[in-house]
Amino acid sequence: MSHAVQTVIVALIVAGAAALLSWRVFGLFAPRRASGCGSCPAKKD
Amino acid sequence: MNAVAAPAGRPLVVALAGNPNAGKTTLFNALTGLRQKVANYPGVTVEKKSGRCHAPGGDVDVIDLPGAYSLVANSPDEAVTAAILTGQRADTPAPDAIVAVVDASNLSRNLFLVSQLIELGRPLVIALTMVDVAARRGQPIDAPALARALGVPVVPVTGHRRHGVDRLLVALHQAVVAPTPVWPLPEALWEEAHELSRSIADLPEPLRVAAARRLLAGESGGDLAAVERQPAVVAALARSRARLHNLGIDAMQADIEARYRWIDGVVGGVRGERPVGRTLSERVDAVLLHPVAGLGVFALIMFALFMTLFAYVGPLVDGIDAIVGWLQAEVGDAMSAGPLRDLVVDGVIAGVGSVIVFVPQIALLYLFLAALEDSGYLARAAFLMDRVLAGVGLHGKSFIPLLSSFACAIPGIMAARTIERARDRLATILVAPFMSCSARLPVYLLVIGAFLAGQSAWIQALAMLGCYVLGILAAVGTALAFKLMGAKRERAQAFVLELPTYKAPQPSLVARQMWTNTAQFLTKAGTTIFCLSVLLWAMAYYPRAPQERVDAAMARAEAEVRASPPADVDAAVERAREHAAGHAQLEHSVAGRIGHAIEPVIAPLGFEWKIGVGLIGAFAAREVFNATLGIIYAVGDPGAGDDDDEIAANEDRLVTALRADRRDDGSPVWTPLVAVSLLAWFVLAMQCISTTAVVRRETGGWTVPLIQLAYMNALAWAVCFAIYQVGSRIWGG
Repeated sequence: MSHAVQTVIVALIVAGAAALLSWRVFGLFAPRRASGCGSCPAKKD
Repeated sequence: MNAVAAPAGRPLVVALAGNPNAGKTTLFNALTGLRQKVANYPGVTVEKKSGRCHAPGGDVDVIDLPGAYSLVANSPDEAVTAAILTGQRADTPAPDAIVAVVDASNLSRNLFLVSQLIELGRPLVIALTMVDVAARRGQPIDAPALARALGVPVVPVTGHRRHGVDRLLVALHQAVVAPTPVWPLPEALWEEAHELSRSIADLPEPLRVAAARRLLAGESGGDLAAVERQPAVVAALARSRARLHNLGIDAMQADIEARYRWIDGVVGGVRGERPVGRTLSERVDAVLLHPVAGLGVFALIMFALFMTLFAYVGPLVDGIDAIVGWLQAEVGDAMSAGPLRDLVVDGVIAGVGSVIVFVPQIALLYLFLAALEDSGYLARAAFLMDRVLAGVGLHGKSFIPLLSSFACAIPGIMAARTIERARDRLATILVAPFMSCSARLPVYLLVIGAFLAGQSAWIQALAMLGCYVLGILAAVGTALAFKLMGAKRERAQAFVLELPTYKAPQPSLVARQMWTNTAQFLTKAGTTIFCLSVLLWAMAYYPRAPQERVDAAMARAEAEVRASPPADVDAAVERAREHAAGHAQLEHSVAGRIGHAIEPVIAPLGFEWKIGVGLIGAFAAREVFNATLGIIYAVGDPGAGDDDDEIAANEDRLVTALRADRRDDGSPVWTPLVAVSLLAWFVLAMQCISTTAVVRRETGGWTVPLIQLAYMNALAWAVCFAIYQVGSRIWGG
């Protein structure tokens, strides 16, 4: 496999990893429905 | 009293309600075949969970609710239970029937909740657990008599053996609304209840007096929320309370006493009494709950656990490391040279490999903790800690969240919902990340393994115990400071914790718990750590250094070797040139530049720039530190560890590379003092993005997580600074 082909594959893998991580991180920070209750602070979500 | 009807078009919805640690989740798992976390201590379920099961009369949706001692909610998890049972949750259908899970060995206290469930007017079935324990204590329960006394089906069950589960499934469709007992309340209270009921217009006539009595007893929210807001009810309630006050009647107290008088009557008719000596639990507790001996036993158990990690699991870790090394060599030979091969060998295999080598030790730790938990010992540890925790301003109930935080701070912080008072909950959330979570474990194992490898297992175990103790001390100090800063002194709340009966750990449950936790660790290694390893490798690999710079570095290294030639000069030259090329490349990369940029901040702590890169990676997840070092030392020194003779027995390749690394002045990068400082950093610093996100969610804003982030990292920096600066003056670095 030539150096150029390897570089392209590496770029794709790195971009994929970055996309997956961003999705996980933003998924974590995105507002979600909390299972809180009347007095639970989580309700503010 | 009609049996519950299966609604057309949807399964029957059944809620499992009961006191904490009555066996709800075990029963839930037995009914649904799901694998929710079960533990032999109260407070494990803090959110409702649901699953479907197939019953003879049709499908049933089962909701497992957090344990509650009363429907008058004290804590957020109890409020979840009350809201669902009264049909006040928009996301959960009101249950068609309720299964009250009643612990036969604590019948009176469990029937208190049942007395409140009866008043909800929903079809009810009693699942009677711990029947064998009650019998062993000389207090067997007559289930048919209990069914007659309550007017609802009563089914004895043993969830983990599935005894009685099929009969319970049949009984679900025979659930009936229990007749509401006439509580022996003071006459004046009944009169006020009738008087108040005249102001309640929203409810059907038969429910008004009961609602009025509950309002007088201090209940609020749930199904009473709409009623209690009506101006006429508010005014009438105030008048009734004032009249009762003048008569010297505390309505809430009178309500509780009346229920317990009714309960005494029920229990007297269904519970046998035969004398038994002190139970085994009581005899063991005399030692394990002793204020001094108990703490000693606890420390010994933890020490023995850590010692086992180092003494007996080492060969397994070395075996996995050897497999990782073999894989690197095979893949390296099979692929043609280029960035893709470097990514696979130096990024993915070295990165992920340096984390998964510790799987045996982590699995063993989980195995021990699961066994301790299932045996009932951990609840005793909570009881022991109550005195200590109360002294520093934490509530006894903080122990379970803090204990969970030793596995991971995230479930620990969520478990803080069981704490009633907001201030106690906040204090617990603030200190929970100081507990040494399992993500720190690979770092501790790597650093201790690297610098105490020559020492006996017990010294390594002591170092490990020291890390855990430092975290606990930091938590205690922080809680104390939080307590002293509190302007308002509040009365301490009593800590009520039910001590479960000792039992032999159930092998299947312990094995499942260990597998679940280890699988989570492996999943994280295969997803998050994998992705981070790819990115960190790219940062350590790009941009590529200009060839002339690499050539110059190699020439300098060769000249240095030839200036004082060793015996095998050609091999030494070759090795030095390879090392210099890797080093020059690493310094030119993004990671190298970031490492050098933060070096002024971390140098006073004894950390070289390569450690700095690792610390930045660890902010994504702590165990990424190992992956980062694995990558940096693979990219920066591709030849390291290739020669068999470099690898001493019982020593992995990364450890060899760490020990060989030198600063520009020739001094070692990694000294025992640096290792101690680094361990202190990992104990004290807040580095986990996921934890910060959960703290934000649980506290409803960014203030607490940001203060926590700043405080913990400032504390970590100050402690590491003190360790390194004082240590280097005494021992010379």
